[in-house]
Amino acid sequence: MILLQSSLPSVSSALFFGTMGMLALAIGLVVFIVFHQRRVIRYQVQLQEMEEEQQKILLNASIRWQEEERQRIAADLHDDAGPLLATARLYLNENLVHQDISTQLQSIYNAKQIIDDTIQLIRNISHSLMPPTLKNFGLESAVNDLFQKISGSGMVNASCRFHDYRQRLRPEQELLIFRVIQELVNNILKHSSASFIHVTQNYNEDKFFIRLHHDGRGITQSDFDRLNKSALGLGLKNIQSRAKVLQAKIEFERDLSQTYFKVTLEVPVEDYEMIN
Amino acid sequence: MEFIAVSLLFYKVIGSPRSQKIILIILLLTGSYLFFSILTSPIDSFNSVLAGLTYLVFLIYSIYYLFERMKDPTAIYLFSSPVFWVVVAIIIYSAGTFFPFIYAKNYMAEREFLDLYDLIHDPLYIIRNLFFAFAMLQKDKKLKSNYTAYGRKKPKP
Repeated sequence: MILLQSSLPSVSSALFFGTMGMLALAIGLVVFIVFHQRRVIRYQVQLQEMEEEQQKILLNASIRWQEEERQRIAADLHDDAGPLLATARLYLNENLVHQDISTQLQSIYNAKQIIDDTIQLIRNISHSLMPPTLKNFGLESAVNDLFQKISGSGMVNASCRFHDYRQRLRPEQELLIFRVIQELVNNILKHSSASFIHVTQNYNEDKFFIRLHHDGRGITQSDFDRLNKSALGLGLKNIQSRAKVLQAKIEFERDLSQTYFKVTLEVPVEDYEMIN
Repeated sequence: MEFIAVSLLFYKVIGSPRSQKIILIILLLTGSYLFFSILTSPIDSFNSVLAGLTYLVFLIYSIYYLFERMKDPTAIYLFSSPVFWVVVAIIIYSAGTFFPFIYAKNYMAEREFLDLYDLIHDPLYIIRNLFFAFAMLQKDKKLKSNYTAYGRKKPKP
């Protein structure tokens, strides 16, 4: 009715301004979408760059760790095994045949002792590369073994309790988790002045949990993230890269009581085959 | 026909099943009303209610599509999606012609109104078709990329 009653010039202006308003709204909406999309793309690119940078840091840390491990093995072989074998060789030189029988027996006995020591040394190096307990008896035994050795020193009270480990994880998963625990324990012993370390294991809703508590100086998640992005903290970067391989989440936090520091490793196991 | 075609296009490009159901309901209800109105109204007169309702529904579809794409984090290459440009064409044409269509029934006989109507409608009609042409040109590029025609990332085989 109103439309019918209104005069044509007012209809023309209503039509013109109404259309302009609608067009302005429509164009404004499209422009807003365009700018929003550009911002999203820029954000995605930034995120990708940050991820690449993080990957690079982790890769460098991994390479550095490998190099350090090689150097350590080379030093062990060169400084310990090399001199031992050289000494054994001295006992067994060509002049031995010209000496009397008792000297010959003494030299052979000494050389045998030295070769036994060398065998023990090489065994130790080999065990440090792949702990036989882990390979033969699994993660629980290997962690128990490690903690007994630490407790045996009398400096730190180390204990562990596996609540639900009836089935073993795949060997490579066990090794990665063991290395993470080893690195965490190593850091605690080096930096925290803790008087106790306690590790617990649980399995819940397709997730395998390792929780480590200690009462020394620790780090929180923000410290962990910061150190991961810096050139420092090679051990932490190794932990991060191993957690990434495991597709696990690692969380560093201070206990609610503010007395303990807690590290939680959460490994999804639904994709992993469990072996008996 | 135009209403059914555009509704089916949005039914295809809007991903969530809930939204698809809503589009089907709108298509059935509004389509039935439009069909009934076409049958009952005189053939020689312009039906403003029909045109207004059609383009209002198109505007709602378009805004909903853009809102859904904004929420979708995988739809980052929206501009190279032909559907985006089709939607831009529809939204501009529907917004621009909404008022002329509403007034057309009562004032189509007036010369002054008709001039203004043509002045608004014809450029928008050209712009819409230019956007459609641009959307068609986008399609060839799209086939070579890892993104679907709707701007979403293709799943890995």
